[in-house]
Amino acid sequence: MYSGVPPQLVVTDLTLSFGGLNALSNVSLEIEPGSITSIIGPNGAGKTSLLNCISGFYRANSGSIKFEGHELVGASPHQISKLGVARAFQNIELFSGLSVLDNLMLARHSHLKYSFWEALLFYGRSQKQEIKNREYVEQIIDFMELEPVRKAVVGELAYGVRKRVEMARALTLGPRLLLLDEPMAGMTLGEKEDIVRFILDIKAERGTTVVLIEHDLGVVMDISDQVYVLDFGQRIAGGPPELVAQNPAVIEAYVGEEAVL
Amino acid sequence: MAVNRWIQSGNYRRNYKEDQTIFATFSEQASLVVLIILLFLVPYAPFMSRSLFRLFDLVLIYTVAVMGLNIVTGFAGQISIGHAAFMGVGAYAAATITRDLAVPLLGFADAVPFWYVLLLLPVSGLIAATAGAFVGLPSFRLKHLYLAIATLAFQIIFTWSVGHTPWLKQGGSIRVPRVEFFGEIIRGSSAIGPFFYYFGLVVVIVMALAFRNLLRSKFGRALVAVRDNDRAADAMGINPGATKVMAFAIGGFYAGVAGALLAFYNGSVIVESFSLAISIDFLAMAIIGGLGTLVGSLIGPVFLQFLDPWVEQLADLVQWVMPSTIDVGTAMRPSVFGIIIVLFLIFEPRGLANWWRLLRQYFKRWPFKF
Amino acid sequence: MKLYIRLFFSLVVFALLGLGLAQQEIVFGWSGAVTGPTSDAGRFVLQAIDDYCRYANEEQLIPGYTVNCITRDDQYNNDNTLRNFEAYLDEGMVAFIGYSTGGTLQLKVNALEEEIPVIGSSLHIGVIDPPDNDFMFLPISSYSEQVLALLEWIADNYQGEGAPKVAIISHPSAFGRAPVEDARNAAELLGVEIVEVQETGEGLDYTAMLQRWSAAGVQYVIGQNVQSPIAAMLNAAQALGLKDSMTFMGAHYTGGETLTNLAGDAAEGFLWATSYYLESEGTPGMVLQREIGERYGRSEETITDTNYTTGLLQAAIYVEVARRAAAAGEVSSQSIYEALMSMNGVNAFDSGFGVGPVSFGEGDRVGVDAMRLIQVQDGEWQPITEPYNSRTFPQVHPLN
Repeated sequence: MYSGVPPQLVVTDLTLSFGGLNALSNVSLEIEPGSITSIIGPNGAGKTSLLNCISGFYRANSGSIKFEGHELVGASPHQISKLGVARAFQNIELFSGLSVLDNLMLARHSHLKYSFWEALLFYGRSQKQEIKNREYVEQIIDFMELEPVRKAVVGELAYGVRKRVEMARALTLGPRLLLLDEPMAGMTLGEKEDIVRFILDIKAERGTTVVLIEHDLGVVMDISDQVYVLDFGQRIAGGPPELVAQNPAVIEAYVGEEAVL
Repeated sequence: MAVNRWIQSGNYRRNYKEDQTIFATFSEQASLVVLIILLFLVPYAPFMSRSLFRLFDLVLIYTVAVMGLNIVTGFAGQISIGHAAFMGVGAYAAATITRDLAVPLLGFADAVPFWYVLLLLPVSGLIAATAGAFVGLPSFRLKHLYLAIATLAFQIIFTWSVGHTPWLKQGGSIRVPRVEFFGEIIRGSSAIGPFFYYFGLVVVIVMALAFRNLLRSKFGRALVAVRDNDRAADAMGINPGATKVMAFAIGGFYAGVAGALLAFYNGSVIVESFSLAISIDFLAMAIIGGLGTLVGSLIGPVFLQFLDPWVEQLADLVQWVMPSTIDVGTAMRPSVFGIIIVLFLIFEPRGLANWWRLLRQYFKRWPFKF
Repeated sequence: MKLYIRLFFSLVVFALLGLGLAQQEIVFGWSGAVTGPTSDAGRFVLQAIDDYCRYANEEQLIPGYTVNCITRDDQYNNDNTLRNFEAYLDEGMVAFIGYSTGGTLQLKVNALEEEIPVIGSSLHIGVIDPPDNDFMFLPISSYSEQVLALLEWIADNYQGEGAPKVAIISHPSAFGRAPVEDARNAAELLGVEIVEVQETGEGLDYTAMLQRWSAAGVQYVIGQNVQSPIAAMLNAAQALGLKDSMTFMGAHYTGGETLTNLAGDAAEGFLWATSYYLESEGTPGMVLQREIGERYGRSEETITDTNYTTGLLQAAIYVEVARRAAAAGEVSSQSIYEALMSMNGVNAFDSGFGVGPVSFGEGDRVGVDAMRLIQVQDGEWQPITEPYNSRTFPQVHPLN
């Protein structure tokens, strides 16, 4: 574990229930800035629910989520997004009628500082701001290697590319904490390797904290600084990957998958 | 890169600022200028009659309203079945402000000066925008058809309230003074027709420019984002509820301006001009023109307004051929109208704007096919 | 689409050319509902106007001139009414016949500016109230006066204790609301209590409304509406057995053959205030009505309809003033207007369609001032009064 640096995200005793069924019960975890943290667990363990709580789509019944000192429980997704937490969805949730460029420009929404009246004139500040943010977007396009599809309509792109656009859009928000929900699901090996490279680059070049939900345990063990394991809504283990891999509770949850670990 | 910018057929933009521009080529810009000049010359055409002026004037006024509806329905994806009521709010605002404030306080007699009208258009627009934002408030909680019902409720409440308010003549006609333009009172249809043609045209151009600018800004993108996927929009830092309310407010503003324009054009305000049927006409104009396009809001009203007299002529013709005891002609008129709308929905749901796009591409690539 | 616009343009140009050729032509314009709401009434008016103009030309009622009555459907839509009005101006119209309440009210300012006389089918008192009323005329007495006449009849014929209790069923529009305020004021003068004014425009089930009124002790129901809701109400009243305790009555557009056809037995005893003769009476005007209708192959339904009488009266007034204007000099909107304004005293026009002579002048914008009450007796409409005027109307609503 890193020491000395205060954690960026602190989840304390988080409980989320849907009519008597606990999706999350008393989950606590801490995430260091600039780290890659993976959340793993069997299907229905509450991984996506946890991400939904952090990004504001679900409101936890009790407990707290503190991001750089700000309480996230009770805040709406757009408020949380403005605090610097971005999220890529498991099921691609892009604006399918718009181009890749417009999808990414949308992510700059809160960074475009001009008023409604300036927008009507589209001259002066609004124009300068648009150009400035367009440059930022182009950096991300460059970074995520999306140049050839810049002006393509998202709905017409291949699945793997759309996944990449989804991740690029989250990154365009300029977050300090990036939540990736199964960014590699359904991808070919080659595409997975690209995504792994992007995730490592995001950490290395941009210093962005990454929280990753992933089923491919090989990838998780390779790139994570820290791994948390959820099962039936409860945190059953947490710590550096090599320690987690030896945890008997984890092995039990993943019966038959010891070999992978 | 030396290219002839008049005949270029592709994208030769070299920096991000150029990439923001609305029209890709010089020839496109030039054809727009030519179109606007032609539109300004229309009143000099020999065929212009009073009733044709009325048709054009109403098209221009309705175009302003339909642009607003297109922002709400086409761009933000919220069906509004009460758009005529917002237009009514603008019209009644203009009529009552003029009757109860301007005439007694500013001492206007037979006519109001043009500057006053110019001032009152945005004021009426803002009042209607407030109504729009208020009606849009449920969008924090409601979605899709439920929200559409809220707009329908507003339409019904508007009609009912006006009908029961003696201050608004219970929906009967409220007189609005004529406009005085540089010392001359614009009265009589031979003067009103051309005057409101030019006035309406300028208002449409200004409102269309604002529309276009808005749409290439972050606000326009936010509208489309909310329409396509409001969950993702939320994650992008866009407040979906506030964006929908904004869409309703902008839509209300456009409708309010159109309403005030209509009030001064007709010289009176009557509740029947803002009925549910008109709201549905606006929806038809927006759909046939093409939802989610600016060009669609411009073509839709032209098409539907001109369709009406055309079907009328056709009905007369059929009636003339058929024996007088058979009433085919009169039954034909509403049915032809309905059939055309249904055909559009089936065969060209993207509306006339799509035909316009194909036409433009054809000329851009000419003489090549691709 | 371009082609249609061009077609339309060329049609307009044609119309303009046609105007230049026929110089001795007098153009009257009518715009009303031939399709859409109220078209069941509107098409009879249209047929009457077409027929009377043909009749006037065949009989050469205006020597040296032909009458051209342009009639176009406006679907009860005000925008269309105004557009038709302006199209007729292009075609040289000298006088206009309106139809809908909204369209006619909105036309006031246009009529004033273009100096074109307007006679409407709508009897809304606001049509002839100031401002901008200079060129506005009603063919017969207004809804207000009709409703007041019914209130007077109630006050005169009521024999019970206390004040007679009245409910009003009005159309949810300017048309329906037109007489309500005057009715309230008159009721106060007459010692009649108006229990409730219910607005309804559809032929729905009126059981609940009638039971509420019955519980409140309502004895009279006055309708300012169209026939179908009134007929539905009468049917409900008969089913509830309320026909003995309540008397039903109504203004011009509630009555006529349409009501008896729709309501059948339930219409028995209904009281109707109007200024037109009934075709069944066989008065000279009604003989003419049948003659004109039969000459142009109209159905029995058309010939016996009051709305057919309405159209005949409107056209007859204009043909008569055009005849007078032609005799005095040239026919223009100005001379038509002057002939209308001097149509009084010895110059009043006895059309035969209304129960009194048509008179207009300063302070008199109502053509046939008198009206009668007509009752359904044994399934037939029978006049029960002589022509008379409402006595409270001048007090409640003084006209200029």
